[in-house]
Amino acid sequence: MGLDNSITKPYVRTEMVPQKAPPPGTVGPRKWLWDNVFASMLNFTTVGNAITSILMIVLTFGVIFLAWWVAAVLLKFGWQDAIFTGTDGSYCRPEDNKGKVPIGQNIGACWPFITHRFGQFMNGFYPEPERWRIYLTYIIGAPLIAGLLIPSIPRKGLNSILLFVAYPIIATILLSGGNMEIAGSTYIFWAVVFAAILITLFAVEKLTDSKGLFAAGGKVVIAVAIAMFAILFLLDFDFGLEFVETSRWGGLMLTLVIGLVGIVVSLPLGIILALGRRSQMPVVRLASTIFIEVWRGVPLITVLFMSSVMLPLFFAEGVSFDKLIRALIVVALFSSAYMAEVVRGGLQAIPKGQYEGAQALGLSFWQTTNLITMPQALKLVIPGIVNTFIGLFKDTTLVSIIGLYDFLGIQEAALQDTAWLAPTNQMTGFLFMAAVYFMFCFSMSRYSLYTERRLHTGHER
Amino acid sequence: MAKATKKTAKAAPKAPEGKKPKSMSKPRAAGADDLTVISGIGPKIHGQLNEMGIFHYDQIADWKKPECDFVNGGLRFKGRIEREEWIKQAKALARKAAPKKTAAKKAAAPKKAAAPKKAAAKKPAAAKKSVSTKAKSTVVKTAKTSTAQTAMASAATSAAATTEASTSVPKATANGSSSQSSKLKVSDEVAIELNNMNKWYGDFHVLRDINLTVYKGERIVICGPSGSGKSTLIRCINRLEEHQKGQIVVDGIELTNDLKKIDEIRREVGMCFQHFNLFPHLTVLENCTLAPIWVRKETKEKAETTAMKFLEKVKIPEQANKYPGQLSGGQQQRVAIARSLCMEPRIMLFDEPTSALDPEMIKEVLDVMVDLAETGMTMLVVTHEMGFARKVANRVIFMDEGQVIEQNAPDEFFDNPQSDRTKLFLSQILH
Repeated sequence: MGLDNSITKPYVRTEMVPQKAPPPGTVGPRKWLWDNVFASMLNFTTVGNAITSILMIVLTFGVIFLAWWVAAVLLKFGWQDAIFTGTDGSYCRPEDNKGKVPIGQNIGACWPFITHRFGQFMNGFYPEPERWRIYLTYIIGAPLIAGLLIPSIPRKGLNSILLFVAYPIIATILLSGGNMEIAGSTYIFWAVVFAAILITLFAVEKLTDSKGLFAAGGKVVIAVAIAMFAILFLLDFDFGLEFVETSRWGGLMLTLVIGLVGIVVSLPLGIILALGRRSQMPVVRLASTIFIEVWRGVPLITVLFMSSVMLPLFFAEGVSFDKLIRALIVVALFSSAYMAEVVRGGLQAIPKGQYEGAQALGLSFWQTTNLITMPQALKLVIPGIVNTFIGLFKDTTLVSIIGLYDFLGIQEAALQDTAWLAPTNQMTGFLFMAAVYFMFCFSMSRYSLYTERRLHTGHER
Repeated sequence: MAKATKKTAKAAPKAPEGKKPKSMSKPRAAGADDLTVISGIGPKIHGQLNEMGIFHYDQIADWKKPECDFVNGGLRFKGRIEREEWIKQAKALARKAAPKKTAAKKAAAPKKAAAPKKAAAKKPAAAKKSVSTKAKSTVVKTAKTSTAQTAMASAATSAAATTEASTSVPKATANGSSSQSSKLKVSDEVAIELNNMNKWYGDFHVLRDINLTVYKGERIVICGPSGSGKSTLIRCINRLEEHQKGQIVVDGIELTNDLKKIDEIRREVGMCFQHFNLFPHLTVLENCTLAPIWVRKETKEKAETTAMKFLEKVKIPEQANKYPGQLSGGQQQRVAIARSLCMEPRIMLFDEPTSALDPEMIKEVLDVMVDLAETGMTMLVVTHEMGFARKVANRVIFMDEGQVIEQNAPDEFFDNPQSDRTKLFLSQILH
């Protein structure tokens, strides 16, 4: 204060300058509007700036007009000209629309088509009296999924076990009806497999003098065997539910089944493949690389076709796989190849120091992976993971080419209904489908953003 | 390496001839305590060994002719003997020699410059011995309780007991801890042993014939130009890098490809890195408890108690629930030190712990390291903080082109470097 602040003279500051508020007009909504909207449009100082400004004005108003135009068309179609009530297709046909719309005028969306067919869009050809089973599956699943996704809900471990182990079994039994008539030979087959594993463990322990291998490994094998037989038994058990074969599943329920199974399987499988591709062991690395490259190199449609046309070549006559199971396996493996590359990208970004820090503390490879590198890598690639999830969810529409009626495919079936023939049915249907797909995909995207923010720990690399 | 050490070693005995008589009376960080036990042999050997900064018996037996002869004369062995045996015999000799003051004086006679000072201190030999042992016990206690008061008390005792300390160490008195560090216990228990260790990166020979024995409680500073292999050397000790030839024995365990042994060694050896390598997705407390919980299988409560204890030691308990990204560099490095200490290692390796820090933060990290040294931790520090080396180290090793060029006690190393390469290096860094 009072001292000459120029650097031409010796100078000692005696008082620190206190922090002050920024001058008016540099913060707040007005400033934002100026910076983001008007600043680029109202600069006429030079010829170049003037041209840019005019271009910006044209672009801005052009975009505003385009947005308004799209909204107006959609509103006219979906609201203004739309038919909201009706008991059959005649309400949506201009020629005999029961006098509601003058002949010759445009007919908008035919919403009764959607409401009438809503059950089918949701559940496919699932028999109507049994649909409560689907709804029950949703009711059981919703809190489990919510419990996993909402961070503040405790007991994530138990929740995960319920969701990833118990729930799939319950859902399978509820949706299919269980009572799968599993042959006695299947039980014997698995019993032999587990016995063989146990004997191998025992032999390895004796031969290589690695103490405790049989005791430790045996426990795991027996636990897996018990779980396996319990699952087989549950699937075989007659709960008195009507059996609904998978060809009658369809609609949003089928899309959700394929999408969720794909998501739940592809992430862990992708992680394993990514680790495999980075492994020091040549065989593991080669196998992972081949798997990833083969699946990435073939279009999903081709694989789906091959699964229905070529699979019989590999099996004895009479052996047939369920269409849905084939689609599930294909979708899961297909997206796991993509997932593997996404996860590998995340692992590449982890600095070497993280591995060294963990090693220096004495953590093992798996501890380092589980506790240090993988959590960080996954956090880094959340956008990529969710990208793959969304892609996978939308790719489920491709299963319609092997004759499964997913959410999009079911519309084709609905359009065949002669009682509901109307010119705008298809458009209405697509609008509805698009809205539903968008809802799911957009919520995934928002959730991923939320997770990214939540996991941000202020560490910039 | 052997050559280089020999060179330094040969140079050392010349010094007493009058070139640097003053340094004789300096209390050496290097094993001063260790030798006090056998100081009764007489001021000559005490002084000479002190002069050389020697606590390492191999060097005496292998390379130092006059000392070898002197000891040979007194003890019953030829050529090499085991260190334990040497100390045992030396102690026995000391017991015999102690009462004969005249013999001691006679032995000390050649060093005239030092004699008067020494005589004053040495006359009541028995008294001195008792004081020094008392001081030693205080130090041990200090290491345990680590309270400032006892530390000061021990510093006072040591100052009183060894008059040399206060008079002839002008450089290190700034922080007053030179006298303390010189009293730190350096045992004769081997912590790390490298025998003819070699390492290649592909065709590039990074480490060549490294021979190094580190005793428990030693604080060794390793310096050298970049690319000289100093980081690689300490990274080999906990197997972050693999060596291809030779032998590394840490805490009695030889490093091989055996994963179990590697894990065992990593549990004993803590390490701090230039870039901290904290885990950014975990809080400071979680960083500290992770390894105790997963590697040592401690309960969460116990691990957290230990972690808080060490976070208090590095003076940042209030940051426990923050993420590393929210801390300053100096704080992060202190967390990294605490994290290593939570595994209760016996040896700590520091790989340029301050070179990524802002100038204002270096001191807080060095202070923590000095505190750590005072607890008697075996430390290997790669650093260019020469003030730290003088204050804390009892040996400085200079490396270049993957070899040990020179090793010496810090004062000797800095004031009287022997090799031309060392001189050049020191002139480059001490502007």
